[in-house]
Amino acid sequence: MSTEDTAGLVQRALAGDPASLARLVAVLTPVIQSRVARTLLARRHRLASGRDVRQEVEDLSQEVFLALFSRDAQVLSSWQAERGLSLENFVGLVAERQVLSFLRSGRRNPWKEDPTLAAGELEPEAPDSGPEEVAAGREHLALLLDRLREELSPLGRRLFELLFVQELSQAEVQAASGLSADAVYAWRSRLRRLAQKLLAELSGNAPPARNTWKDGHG
Amino acid sequence: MNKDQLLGELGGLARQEGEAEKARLDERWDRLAAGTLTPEEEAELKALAESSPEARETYEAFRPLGADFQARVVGAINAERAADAPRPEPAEPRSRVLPFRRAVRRIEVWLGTAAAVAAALFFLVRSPALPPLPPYALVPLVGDQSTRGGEPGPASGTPAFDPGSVLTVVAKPPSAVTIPVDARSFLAQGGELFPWERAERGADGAFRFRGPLSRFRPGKWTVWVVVGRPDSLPSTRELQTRLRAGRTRTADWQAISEDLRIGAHPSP
Repeated sequence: MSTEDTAGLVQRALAGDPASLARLVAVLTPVIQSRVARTLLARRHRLASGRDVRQEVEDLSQEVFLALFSRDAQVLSSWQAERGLSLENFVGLVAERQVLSFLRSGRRNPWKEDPTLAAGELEPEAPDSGPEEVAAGREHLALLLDRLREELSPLGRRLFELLFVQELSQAEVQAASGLSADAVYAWRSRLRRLAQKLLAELSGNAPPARNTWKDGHG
Repeated sequence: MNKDQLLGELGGLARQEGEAEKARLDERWDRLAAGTLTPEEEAELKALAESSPEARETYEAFRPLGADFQARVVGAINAERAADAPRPEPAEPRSRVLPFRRAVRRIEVWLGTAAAVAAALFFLVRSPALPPLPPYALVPLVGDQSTRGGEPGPASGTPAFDPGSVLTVVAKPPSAVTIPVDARSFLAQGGELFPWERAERGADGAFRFRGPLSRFRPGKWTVWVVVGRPDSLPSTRELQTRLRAGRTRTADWQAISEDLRIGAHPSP
């Protein structure tokens, strides 16, 4: 299905056309199921023993659909093909976030907006010392990475991927995302601040929220 | 530390995780979910699934969710949309309302009315074809937590259980059931539902759920059992939405509940 076809299908489904909604659900079900399953299985140690993984996959997959369509389909409506993310990738990121949120807190959290930037937040920051040093452990870093994935919107995830996973140049990131140089710079700063904030949370006295479904050992 | 060093480390870890996942679960698993495997590939994955409990679990996680799931999702999305719209007092029976937050916007009343009319028409058309569900009831819970004096807790009031207890919940129909039914269980606290144990079905159509309470924190909880047609049981989210609206029954399922208290471990 071409991007135009996909965008048209989404628009018709959002407009309430029953056949388009059914078709969209059919198209997205395997995408969401796969991403939910991958995210869950990679962290299966966080699930209480005895849990039925297939049931969890089914429930969480439905949660992802509802997250996409709740509040007047606010999340699904925010998908823009021109940002360089296919609908499948966009929905996959939503699915991953939903599972991470569930694993961390045992709850299906509502979608949060990207952290906003207050005036002056783009100023260069003083070199940090303390909290980053705590991130020596790989497990700690993995927890931090999951928290970052959980907090970011699909667009934020896309920028993190382009800037720090694929390590593309500024020009390449602009080309891939369709964002201006200023917008990419703002995202870099936003990501940095968010990572530092989450690191401080993980390193502080308040541990990550305990998973209600886990057996005894946080 | 370079100001982007932390993000660089996170990016590096994300790359490693991605590579490890590709090695562990190749793209055949995605095609299993999509139903596009060749017969040979499907046979390979099935054989792999028999090799270990973990591989079996993986196979089950990717086995296609199917048309029933998709129909439920479409229904849940439509229910969510209808729940966002205001509606007149529902015709369905109401039970006590869980302390969920109501998020119903009271605008565009006609939308809710239209949804109710559509739902009524749906049931009018559908109901004659299916036998009604029998009204299930929960066998009253009997707590097992001792008082300080070592005597059993009071027989009346909310039954209390030691956090180490194994809870047994039984849902019974008034007489033997011959139509296909299935059941799921949940524990609820603070407006959130948590899936609990899988059902064991008795010959007469009763369902028994049995599992430890140790994974739930002390406090007041409600155990919910939803019994209904096997292809129409609500998901956790759908049930939660319905309960928030005070609805415990549709033409396809009913939800019944009992309160209980999980006590802190007794002092030595």
